[in-house]
Amino acid sequence: MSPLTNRKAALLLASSMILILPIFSRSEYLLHILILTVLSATLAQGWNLIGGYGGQLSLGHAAFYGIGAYSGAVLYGGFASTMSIPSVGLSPWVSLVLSGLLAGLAGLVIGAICFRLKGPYFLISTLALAQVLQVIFLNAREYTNGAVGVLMSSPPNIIIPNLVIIDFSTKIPYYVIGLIMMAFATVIASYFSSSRFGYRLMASRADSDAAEGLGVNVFGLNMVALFVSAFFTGLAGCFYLYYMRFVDPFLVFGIGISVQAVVLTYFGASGTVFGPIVGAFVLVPMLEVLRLMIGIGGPLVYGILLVIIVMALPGGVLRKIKL
Amino acid sequence: MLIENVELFTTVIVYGILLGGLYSLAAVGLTLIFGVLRFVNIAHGEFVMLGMYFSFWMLELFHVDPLLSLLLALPLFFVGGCVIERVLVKRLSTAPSSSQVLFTVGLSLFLVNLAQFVWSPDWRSVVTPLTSERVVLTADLSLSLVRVSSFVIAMVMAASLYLFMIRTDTGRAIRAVVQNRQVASLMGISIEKISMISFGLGISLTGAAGVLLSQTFTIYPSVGIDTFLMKSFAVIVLGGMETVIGTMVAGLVLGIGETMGATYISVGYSNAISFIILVIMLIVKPTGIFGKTRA
Repeated sequence: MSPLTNRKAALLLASSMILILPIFSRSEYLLHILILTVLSATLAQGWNLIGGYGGQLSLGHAAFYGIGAYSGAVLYGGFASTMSIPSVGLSPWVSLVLSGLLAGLAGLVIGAICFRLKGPYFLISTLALAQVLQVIFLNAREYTNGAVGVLMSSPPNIIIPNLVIIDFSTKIPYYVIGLIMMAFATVIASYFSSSRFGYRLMASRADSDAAEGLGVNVFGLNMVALFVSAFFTGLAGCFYLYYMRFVDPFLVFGIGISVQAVVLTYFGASGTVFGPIVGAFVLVPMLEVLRLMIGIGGPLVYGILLVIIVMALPGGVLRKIKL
Repeated sequence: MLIENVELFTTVIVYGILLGGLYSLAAVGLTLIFGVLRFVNIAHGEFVMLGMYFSFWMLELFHVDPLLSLLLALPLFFVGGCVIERVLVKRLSTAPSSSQVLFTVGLSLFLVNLAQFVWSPDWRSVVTPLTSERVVLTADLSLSLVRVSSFVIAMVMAASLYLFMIRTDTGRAIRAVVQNRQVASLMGISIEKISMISFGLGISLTGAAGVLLSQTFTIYPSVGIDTFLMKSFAVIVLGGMETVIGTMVAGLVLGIGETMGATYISVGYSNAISFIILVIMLIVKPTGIFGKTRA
């Protein structure tokens, strides 16, 4: 494990304090942007686990995001209007975790199919499978409400007399939950970067044949990494549903989600602990400002950024500044 | 049984072939680019989209029939392709394949959203006086004239490409590079020049396919990435990624598969057929039905 230098520790402490401050802010809009940022950071960190550390360029993470979101809808079932789609009626907290696990399981299925393929073929097959899921969720109207999408009501407030009130009509609880998700994903990423498991995974990224020759079970490692990666992506998808209270197959299964995960990670630095976080905290607010100022949506800028990153900034900003 | 209605079955097969011919043409440019540059172009569908919009705007603004637009699109997209190769793609020729793929993902996003920004996300279609004309074959079978003519043009273009690859020096050089870069380079073939020509030619054919497809498909900014990217990938993977003929046959297979799926299973799910064919092929035989195993 690389020793945590004083400088890094000070930076970490300072940034965590800055992250807690907005809770006292009265600006709903600031909180909204921050919630989107920590959500995107969780998504990107999730992608980083398999795409960065495992070196498996997936363009299909929207599949896990979408499965997380729809699982969250069906497991919790607090729909805003009467809908003929089935629901289980669990607590939203349990549903959140279960959605992540279901997305992880989907990761195992997709991994079993796609890890047989290498390089560009892996990428194409993940993209194709996410598109297949989009078609299925658009057409299986009895279970998903099709293209109309799913509209949720606000989760019930949690009131423990004289102790805690978690009021979901405000944005603060969402921000706190988002922060916890992001921190959890980042702890896992730091485990990936400094454990035997992580070293083996990175060895298989560098040269899978050589790693295999040294007794590393490349397929097994990738499966575990994809499970964890899909878990966090699914968690992010479910959180998105509970926060925005609306999803449809275009929103959550679209290629935009997959690309966002890749761009944020690559911008920061792929395969590093803080790369995806830096990417999300720089790009998500920046795009929000751009959208307000000149009305150009995120995807256009993501496209240009990706070209620029590949051409001029290979390795991402974190590797350029070198903390 | 499945085939109760023979007339319906015949119609489905014929329409499948007509559609498949266009899919083949849309995919053949991807084969060329992948074969020569070993470059997976995720932005491929966007050049189909640009071809479709080219056809639409030529008709809308200058009242130019799509068939004439086709002749204009070929040189225009060729030059555009060459410029993109020279300015952007060439710089990535020694970059890791992940950078190359991500570059094309960025290009794709950029083009889709630029189209959305400039031309709005509205759905558009190309309607000419010929659109509703039909070719009557038998009492039970009449076909849309536009589909038949598009198919014939696509086949003529594919045949020309085939002859170009077989008969001309440039064509032979392209095939040599596809087979073995190093040896081709040692034989005095300029890889740089062949890469540029192949990229230009690939984009040119893709744009032309877009012009033809504009007559039968609805035009909107993300039509490329939504449908034609995956269809083209399915076709080239099925066809073995190397030869013009393999690509053409695979296009027909996909066309027939899709129309049969739409008729006998469900229209909604027929879009998934190309994805499923793609994934199955990648797993079972990534070298395609006609492909040889690469050393």
